Amino acid sequence: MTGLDQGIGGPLVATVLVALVVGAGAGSVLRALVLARVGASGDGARSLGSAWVNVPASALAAALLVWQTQLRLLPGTGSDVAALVVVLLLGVCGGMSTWSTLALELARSVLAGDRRVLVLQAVGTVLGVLGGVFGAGFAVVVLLLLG
Amino acid sequence: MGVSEAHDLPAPGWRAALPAPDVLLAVGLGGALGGGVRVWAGLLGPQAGFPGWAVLVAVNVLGALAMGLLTARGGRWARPALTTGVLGGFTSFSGWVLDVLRLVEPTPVLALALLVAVPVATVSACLSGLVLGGRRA
Repeated sequence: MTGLDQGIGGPLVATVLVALVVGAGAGSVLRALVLARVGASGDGARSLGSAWVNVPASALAAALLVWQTQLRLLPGTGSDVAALVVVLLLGVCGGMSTWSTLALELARSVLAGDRRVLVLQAVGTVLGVLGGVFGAGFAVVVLLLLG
Repeated sequence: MGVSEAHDLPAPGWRAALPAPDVLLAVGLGGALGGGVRVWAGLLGPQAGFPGWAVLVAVNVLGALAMGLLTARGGRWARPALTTGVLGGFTSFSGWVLDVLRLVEPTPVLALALLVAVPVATVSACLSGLVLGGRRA
């Protein structure tokens, strides 16, 4: 999923690439702050681990994708909107969400034989992503219809 | 208690747990690098004949393996810059979710395969990295 084939062209490409990199850095900082905050919380919140960043990042990404798809149907939607969506989608959401940390958390639970945390995190992530993605997508459609 | 005295009190627990600004800077720079490499791979992959979803699978599995290998290494800046920054920014959970959603309608079998295979592959890769790195969590 590069996203750069979504109606962006010309000199905008270089600007978008720089913005993508900056967005990924900003998303990573946001992830570090959220996970540090979660790490200092109670056992229940800590057990969900990286779900605290993966779920909201996935929900935001789904909302952006639906928003972009709906806007494409409207005449006069420029490439600047497509560029903004790509930067937020691939840069910020991509930088904020992570598979490597989730894999490490799950691998540590496997090694420690901690089934409770393993199940809690897997189920929490799946349910959170399902709810977040479909909820955010539906909310965007409703907002666009009302607007 | 005056205002100045209140400011001298130690920060509450969760605030004290937040990373220091220099560590956050290292994470941000690492994340920018990792995210840049992910986008670069996403651009080059299709040109080399690989579909976008395959590139992201490779990125996530490779990132998980590297996370297992590197998680216990490095110092004050190197460790967060490499693991939380570079590898966290390199891999993408939201990209995987969107790839699965996009593939559900045209190729449901592939979407289901991605849904099941990526978690198994990334966790297996990370376990391999932990074992190869000689550091069990």
